[in-house]
Parts: sequence; C-alpha cells; structure tokens
Amino acid sequence: MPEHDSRVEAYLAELRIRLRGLAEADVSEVIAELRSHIDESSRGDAVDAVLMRLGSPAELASLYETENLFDRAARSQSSPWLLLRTITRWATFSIAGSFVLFMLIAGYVVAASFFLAALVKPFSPDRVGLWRLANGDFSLRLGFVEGPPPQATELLGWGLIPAGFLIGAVAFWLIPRFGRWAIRHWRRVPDLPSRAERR
Amino acid sequence: MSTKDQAIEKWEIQLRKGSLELAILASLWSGKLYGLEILRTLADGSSLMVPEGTVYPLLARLKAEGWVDSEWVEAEAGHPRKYYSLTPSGRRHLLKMSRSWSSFAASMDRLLRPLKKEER
Repeated sequence: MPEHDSRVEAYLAELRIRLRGLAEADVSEVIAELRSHIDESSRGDAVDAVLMRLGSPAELASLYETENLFDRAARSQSSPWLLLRTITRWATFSIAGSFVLFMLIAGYVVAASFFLAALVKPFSPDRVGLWRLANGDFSLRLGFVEGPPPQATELLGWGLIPAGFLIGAVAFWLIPRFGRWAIRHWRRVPDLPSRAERR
Repeated sequence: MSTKDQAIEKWEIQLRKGSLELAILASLWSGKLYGLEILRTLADGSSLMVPEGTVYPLLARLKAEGWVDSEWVEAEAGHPRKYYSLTPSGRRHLLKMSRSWSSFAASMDRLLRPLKKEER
C-alpha cells in the first residue's frame, strides 16, 4: 500500500468521525490497529478489496459502538438511561435483546404504578387501591373519576402506601440489575456486515 | 442460488457467528497473535471464513471481559502490530467452553449417526 493512500485515509477519517461515542484513546487505538491491518493485507491484495472485506466505516463503527455501549452498560454503576439505550439497540438485532427490553419496560411500568398509587392514595383513598375483583383477578386502580370496581374487595387499605413505596423501590432497584446481568450473560455478537459475510 | 441453498447459507452464518468467540480464543491457545494472524489461523485451520470487520470489535470485547490482553509490538516493516494473548482467566474460560463444545458436538454426532449411514 502506498503511504497515505487517499482511499485508506478517507476510510479511516470517516471511521474516526463515526466512532465519536468512544473515548479518544480507544479511537486512536482502533484506527492504528486497522491501519496496520490494511497496510499488511494490501501487500497481497488490492486496497479496495481489503476495505470491502472490512465492511463500510458505518458498519464497522456500529459494531464498535455496540460493543462499547454493552461494556459501559454492564458496569455496576451504569445509569438506567444508558442501560435502556443499550438494551434498545440490543433489541434491534436479537430476540434475547427484545425479551430483555420488554421485561425492562414492563418492570418499570409496574414499579411506577405502585409508586404512583402510594403517592395518590392519601388524596383519593376510595379510588386508589389494590382490589380483588369478583372474578378473582387483582386490579391496581388509579383514577380520580371512576369509583372502585363493582363488587370488589380492597386488600391493603392504607397499607398500600408503605407497600406501594416498598414494592416500587425494590422493583426500581432490581430492574437495572436484571438488565446488567442479562447483558453480561446473554449478549451475543451483533449481526455482521452483510457485504463482509459474502467475501 | 435457490431458496433452499439460501436457507442453508443463512443457517451456516448463524452457526459460524455462534462459534466465533470460541474460535478466536482457541487460536490464541499456543501463543500471542495479531489480528491478521488470527484471521489467517481461522481461515487455514477451519472453514470459518470470518468476516474481517467483525474480528476487531470482538477482540475489543474479549479484552474488556478480561479474557485476552494486548500489546503493541514494532514490526520490522510497516506499522506496529497489536498482539493479543490469553489471560489466565481467559485460558480457564476457554477450557470450559471447549468442554461444553465437545459435549455438544458428541450429542449432535449421536443424533446424526443414522443420517450418516443413509448418506453412504
């Protein structure tokens, strides 16, 4: 490969721009490693073929970004927002990811409902509660207009306030831990660049 | 290519993807290698045909997991090379993966034995 081949420089420059989510030191290391790979590979092969086998800068950057997101999200102090962002990306290429995303969203909805019920109960004691319906189902009712379900028995009464806060807090504590655990144990290599698959 | 062949190709891609991590770690069992050497080892020693762009992000992950370590070494000609080697925990992890793989392969072989007789 001639030094400073314009195709290679353009490829690496685009990759550098697309890797903006990574730390600068990591980006420099990725670029240096790929430069070394392209340099050695193109002694026997055409530069265009070498670059095509690597996949486009967009495809390659997406793989690095995904790995980087997973690594950051799996750490114990990662924020729930980063975790949700990572698992949303995971869900785009994996059934396991979709399942974890569904569990996470469902968990947060349940946790938020209990919290909200505990908060609203003092202001609307007759309309907010955990009810056992006539058919045996449970219903956590929140609302200011509707009354309690017909022929339903309230189960916790004022106890919904501590129970709601407790269940909500435990769920908010558990859900991100489940998300990080799932990332550490279930994640797999994301989908490969389609052009590179058909080398 | 017929739809049936495409289905087989798709299935093979999934199969290769699932075994890529094991294959990369196994290529490092005898000593340190840089990215291109890993790709060549996999191409020579198996029919894996690894997509090149996938290997480097995967190596970055294996490093983040603590299973491989890396160091830059000056090359005689050209750019420095980033060599990867297994860490002690990486060697233990690889041994466990290898045992699981052998047990899985033996089970599949038993299951496929009647088909092999048919193919003869």
